[in-house]
Amino acid sequence: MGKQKSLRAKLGVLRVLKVAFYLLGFPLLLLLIKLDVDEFASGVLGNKAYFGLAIVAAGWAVVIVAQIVAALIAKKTVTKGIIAAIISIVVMIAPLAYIEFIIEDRFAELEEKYQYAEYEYEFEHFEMHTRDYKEDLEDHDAAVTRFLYTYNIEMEYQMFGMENTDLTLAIEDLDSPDFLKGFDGIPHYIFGKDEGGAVYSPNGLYADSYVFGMEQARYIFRTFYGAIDDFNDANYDTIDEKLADTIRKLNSDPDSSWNKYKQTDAYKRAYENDDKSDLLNAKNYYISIERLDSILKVLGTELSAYPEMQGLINLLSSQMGFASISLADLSLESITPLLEGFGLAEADLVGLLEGLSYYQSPSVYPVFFFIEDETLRDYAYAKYLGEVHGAKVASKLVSELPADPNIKLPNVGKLTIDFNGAPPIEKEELLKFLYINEIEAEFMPELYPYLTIRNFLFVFASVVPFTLLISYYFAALERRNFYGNLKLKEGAK
Amino acid sequence: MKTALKAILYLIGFPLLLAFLVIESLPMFKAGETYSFYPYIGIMVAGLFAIFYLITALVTWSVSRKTDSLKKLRRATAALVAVGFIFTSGIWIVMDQFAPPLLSDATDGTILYPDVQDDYLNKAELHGALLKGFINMNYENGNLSSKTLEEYQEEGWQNEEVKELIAVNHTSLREDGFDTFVGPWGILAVSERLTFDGILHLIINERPAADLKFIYKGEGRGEEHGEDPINWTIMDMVEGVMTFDISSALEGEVAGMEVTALLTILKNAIPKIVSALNEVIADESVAGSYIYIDLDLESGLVTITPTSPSRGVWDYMQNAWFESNHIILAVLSLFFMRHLFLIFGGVIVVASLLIGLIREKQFAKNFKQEESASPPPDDDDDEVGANRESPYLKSFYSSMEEVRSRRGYFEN
Repeated sequence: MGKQKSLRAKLGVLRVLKVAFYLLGFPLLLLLIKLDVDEFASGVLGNKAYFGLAIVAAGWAVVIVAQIVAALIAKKTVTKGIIAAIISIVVMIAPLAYIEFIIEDRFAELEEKYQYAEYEYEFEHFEMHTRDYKEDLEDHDAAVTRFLYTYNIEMEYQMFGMENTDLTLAIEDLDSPDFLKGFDGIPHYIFGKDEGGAVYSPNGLYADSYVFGMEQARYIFRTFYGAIDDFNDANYDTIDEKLADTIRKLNSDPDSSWNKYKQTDAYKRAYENDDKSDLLNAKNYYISIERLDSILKVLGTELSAYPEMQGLINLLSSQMGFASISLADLSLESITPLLEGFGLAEADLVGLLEGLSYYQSPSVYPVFFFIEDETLRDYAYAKYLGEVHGAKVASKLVSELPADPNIKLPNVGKLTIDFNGAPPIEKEELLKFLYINEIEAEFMPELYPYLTIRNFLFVFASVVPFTLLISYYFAALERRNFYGNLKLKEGAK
Repeated sequence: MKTALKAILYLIGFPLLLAFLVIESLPMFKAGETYSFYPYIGIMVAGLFAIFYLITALVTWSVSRKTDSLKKLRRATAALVAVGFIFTSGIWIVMDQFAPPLLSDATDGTILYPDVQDDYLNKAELHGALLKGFINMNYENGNLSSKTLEEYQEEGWQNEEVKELIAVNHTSLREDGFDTFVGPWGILAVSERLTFDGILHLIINERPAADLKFIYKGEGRGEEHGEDPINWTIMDMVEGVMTFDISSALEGEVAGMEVTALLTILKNAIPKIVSALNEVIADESVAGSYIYIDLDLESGLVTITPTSPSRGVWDYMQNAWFESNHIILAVLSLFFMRHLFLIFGGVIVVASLLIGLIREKQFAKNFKQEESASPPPDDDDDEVGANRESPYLKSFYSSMEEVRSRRGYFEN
């Protein structure tokens, strides 16, 4: 009785040791790798963070298959253990060899490729990456977070509904027949067509509800600052001057494509349409002159309810030397003399209103579509989309640069009714970030998953076969004790 | 003794778990006290799980009493352990994997799984407060006037008048308000992207004529307790009073005059101008409804106050939640289970295992009694039939017999 009890206890201990040593091999390795790479899964590596883990898991699967085969072909436990250990060495060494030869070569290639990189970017050699990859990943992800926060965007673009303001539908398919067909020999143009995907209006501008992702923001910044930096025209000081002059000419030349375009039914339907019920009538969506007139009339009626207000207007008018305005008759016509007094014409007022609330119809080309100089046209699109479109959706990318370089740049990003945005990233720093980010976002997911397991493979290359062998050793001991005892009993019978 | 021990092991499982759950859910019951059975859904589900476990316990107990096989007894124990695990930790491990997208889809992304996973208590109180606040607002403005405030609060969601007002308000806010905003501007506004351009669009864009359903019955508007259909503006859709700083714009000059100097002259007139502006915005040709704008010259702060509280509605998102408050409270009540069930999973698994072991002890004891009362059965009869030592070793050796005969291990 006592002997059986001690045998059971011994068998129990041997079983525990067998399992414990098995767990110290692949299971522990996988657990350690997982804990180590988890934090990178939310950054640039994404799901690729687990690629190294998958390699090791696949290796383990190979060893398990080898163990099953060994159990079938070998009789002795020691033989089985040796087979499993040898296979485990192979599956540990093979990825290491791949990393040390093939992957290292990829690093060498990239080092050569970026030998003369811009912005003093240095692509380090392999050993520096194996040492610093964690810091590099953290730095990369921190820079991305700052960029996304500053401009109030996310990595991928976002859509807030698929309808434009005039209820035309946003277009995702770049070959869609819903795009406009170009005009007067100028082919249709889609800004940033090949830059990571965006959602457009029929006129090739971004859809009203579209908020940039990282890639499109990068393209806008590059186009915008690239055109500014490369600008070289003896006739103008700045590219903005040239742009303003070009648009002025398009407006004033009666034979310009733009003026011809303004005679088309499509344009007239959007901007010269009195039918309020027509959804494509863009006047429905901004403060037009007519709308201002009716608002002024209501304001006059409301204000004239206070007699002292009329007195105040009279007082101010006489102080400033203008003829007074009767509040009860307040209208666009009645304030025209006042505007003239300020040196403003109705056209200026229209300009002012456009700046305040202009709505670019998604079904009509904007004036800058007709700019012939392609670089200038790209610049105009980038500026409009980054500044005007960005401001509308609370992700302003660029703003008018102050004339005096000492003046602080205006805030960008989340400029909403109760949030003041963030200071922009300074131009050189921004371009450097975009440059480096693009390189890193390409090679990090490709190569860093290997580095995340490299050190583990080195350490566990000997630990895994060793623990497997020990585990088999205890399995053998267990069998010996077990059957040895049975044999005894058999003998006794 | 063993039966008493088993009873204790059963008691520290589901009964204790349910007792803790009731205590933890008390604030939930309080928050949703007028919401019929909805806040009790969590407890009901927990009770159902406890019943599943109880049925398994009874079935396995019956098996353990009738069987003469240790193997079957152990299978019964395994079943009890498995059911104990599945209906405690198991269900929540699965929920944690699959429920997040379901919850997000069901609430259009306005309530996310991590928001309620740990913060269920605050969320429950918030949703309870939505009803109390709603009744207060609507009592004050006269929409609810046939009973006292205390009576309304006591009856809460059970009061048909309150229930109807919630439904009417929400339908109106959605169909006559949110859905009438043309294009993406409404969605952008409630997604924390309400820009100045956006607000202009939301005020001036032509909106399809709504079939106005909202009935404002407040005193002092129109006829006594008259019905007054209204337009909703975007400010009714977004949360709370908005303040923005225009002090930098007050530093410039207009027509050769300092803006501040001009404003000093206008100081007394400003409230009237602002009031007239509010009327302009409310005019059919502009927004068609009030947006209360105020300007404080001293601080340069403009505040915009929505009319929604005075009309007795929450902002659009809260209102959408509020309309489904009973469902949300039911979902939240499930989350009160989560921590307790995950913790008790281990307790119930161990208790089930111990119950199984006690059954085995009892089984062995019964077997011995039977053995002494009846002649020993034949060795080949069944696996525990061998008249050797304990049932464990009997089973152990008999299984080894099988191995030996199968593999011919000791054949020479």
